Order: sequence, then C-alpha cells, then structure tokens
Amino acid sequence: MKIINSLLSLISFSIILLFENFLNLIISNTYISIVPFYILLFIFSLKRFNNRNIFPIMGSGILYDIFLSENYLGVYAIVFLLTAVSINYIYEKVIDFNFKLPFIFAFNYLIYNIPNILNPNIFSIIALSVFINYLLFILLKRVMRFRV
Amino acid sequence: MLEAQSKPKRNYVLYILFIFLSSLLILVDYFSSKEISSYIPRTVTFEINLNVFETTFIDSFNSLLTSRAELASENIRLEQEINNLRSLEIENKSLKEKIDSFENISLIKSFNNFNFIETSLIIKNSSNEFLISGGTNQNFQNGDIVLDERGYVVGYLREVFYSYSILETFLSQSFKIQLLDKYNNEYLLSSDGYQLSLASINISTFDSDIDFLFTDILYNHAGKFPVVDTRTINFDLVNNQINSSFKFSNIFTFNTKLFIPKSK
Repeated sequence: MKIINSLLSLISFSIILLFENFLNLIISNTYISIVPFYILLFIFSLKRFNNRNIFPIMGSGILYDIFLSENYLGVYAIVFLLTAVSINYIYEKVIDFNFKLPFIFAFNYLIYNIPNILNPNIFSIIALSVFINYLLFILLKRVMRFRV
Repeated sequence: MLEAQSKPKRNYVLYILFIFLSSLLILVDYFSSKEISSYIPRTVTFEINLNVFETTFIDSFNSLLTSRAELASENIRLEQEINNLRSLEIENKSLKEKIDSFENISLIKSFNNFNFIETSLIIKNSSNEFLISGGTNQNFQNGDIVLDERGYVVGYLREVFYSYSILETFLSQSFKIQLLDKYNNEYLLSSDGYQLSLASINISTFDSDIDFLFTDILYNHAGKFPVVDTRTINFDLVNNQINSSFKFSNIFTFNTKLFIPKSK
C-alpha cells in the first residue's frame, strides 16, 4: 500500500511539474513564470514534511533530469530536495518575524532557481514571479483552508 | 517531549542522505558522459502509431456503407473533401509566396538543395530551453540550426533524443553561435538570457553595409541563413574590434512553427 501511495504521489508530482513547464511555454514571458510545482513543494514542506515525500520529490527531479533538461542526472533531484528541506527548516527553526512566510517563499524560490543563478538578471527576472506565485499560494491557502 | 523535538531532525537526516545519493548520481552520470541520463530518451519513442486504429475504423466504416442514406452521406463527405482540397490549394499558394520571401531574406537562390523539416515546440524547461518534436527518428543531429517562419535562425539543437530534441535559443544563458558577414568577418553571438552580445573574432575587411550576419557551413551549419539584422542594432568598429549588446524580443509562442534545414 505504501508503495502504491508513493507511486501515485510520484505520478501526480511529475504531472504537476510537466504542467508547470507547459504553462510557461504558453505564457511565453521572460519575467513571469507560474510555478505550481514549487507551490506544491512549499505546501508539502510546511504541512506534510515527512520521509514519505522523499521518493516522489526525488523521483520527479530525476524524471525531469532525464526527459526535460540537459543537466546531469540528479541535479534537479538535489534542487527539489534542498528546497523542501530549506523551506521546512527555516519555517520550523528560525524565530517568527513579520513577513516570515513571504521571506521563506522568496528565499526558497531562489534555491528552486539555482540552475539559473548565474544569470546576471536573475533577481529582476524572479521578482515578479515570486509576487505572482505567492499570491497564488495565498489564494490556494484560502481555498483549501489550511493554516500556515 | 524530547521525541517530538528530535523527529524533524531525523527527517532532515534522511533528506540529506538522499541529496548525497543524488550527488553520487551526478558524479556517475558525469563520468559516463551522460550515458545514463540520455539512455532512456534516446531509446524510448513517444510516437503513437495510429495506423491500427485507422484501419479498423475504415473497415468498420466500409461495412456500414450499404444503404442509400449512407451513399448520400458519402456524397456530403466528398463535397467536404473538395472544399478541403481547395483550402489546401490556397495554403499551397501562400506557402510558395513564403518560400519566395525566404529566398529574398536568406540570399539562397535555390531552396531545392534543402529539405525543410517542420517541427514544433512541446514544452519550455526552467532553464529557458525548448523541447521540440523530432529527434534521431527524423535524422536531426546535435548542432542543427533551427529557423522560424521568416527564415531567421532562432537557435540550434543542443541535445537530440529519439523523438524529441532540446533547442538552445537566445533565451538560454548558454547560447553561443559563430557567424559570418558578407565580407567573411567572423563573429561570436552569445546570450545571457536577457540580452545578446556580439563580439568580433576576426575582422579582415569591414564596411558598414554588412546588413546581415549569417550561419555558414564553415561552422558545420546546414547553410547560409540570417541570424542578426545589423541594420537594427548599434554596431561600430573600434580598434578593429566590434562589441555590441542588444535586446531581443521573445518570438516563441505556443503556435510557433520551426524548420530545420537539411542538405539533400
């Protein structure tokens, strides 16, 4: 049963990741990216952070490396796992302050974009995307009515 | 209480172990020259064979053509087919006009030497590279140049798998291509994902009327196709060197048609 659950999670994670890339092809804008997979990762890392998520997160990263990118196998697996750990660690360990959640969201979005970090305009490119995706996260939070 | 506090730490330990495992995968893939990561895309095909479906459909369709009413419906179908043929004729004319415009732009007097294989965008990954349809099944190779509908070069194939390929365009940070002008001066065009940088490599004879920078067979490209229209950018020779930066517009949409020229 655990294996089936993990496989179903992997399939759903991978579909969302594929959908993210497809969506950004339709948007066709350098400055705006909609990242449903990152939002999913953010929600899972805040609300359901446990070892069961490792397989789907790492698996979707490996599938991404195999089929959708030209990186070495495991690059995006590391990025996704690191993002998940970082989100949870900052949320759990760092003291509360104003705008803690937006800060965690923005900081980890940068980690999520580590493969593009060498781009000199990375901050200007991701600024608008962080704002839009955080709004989407807030919207999703209200729709799903979970407390963060 | 203590157990509850130490639980998250245990979670992190396992996550970190899997991060190390992924690092190991990177090392193995690196030392095997990407053999592992490219094995599946090179062998697996995502094409769906519709012939079986079509045959059974046609068979069952034929078996139903017995009554008079069905003959009437076939007449309607044939009429529709004629209409489709007419629209195809119009499309054919417009395509011929496009070919003429290609010839005007690219200065290639005969397109008969090339096969233009049409391809389309599938998806864009987070590194701003595009996945396009067609791979080794259509005889695509690494480094093949890709043209847009106007005949301008928009990128080249970075990685070719069995039924899809990764296209490197101006939007990608690692985009680099060598070009020539009509006086055979050599240039390097590179991108940081935001703007393009043009730098001269070798200037022998320079004049301001170079107009276009082209790909060339000298760099293993399929032929001479325009990449940059220098009339639209600031372009000066200083100390026998040219360095210029300019922005580009994102021309890629979901419907963008792309062509890969292949020499016959």
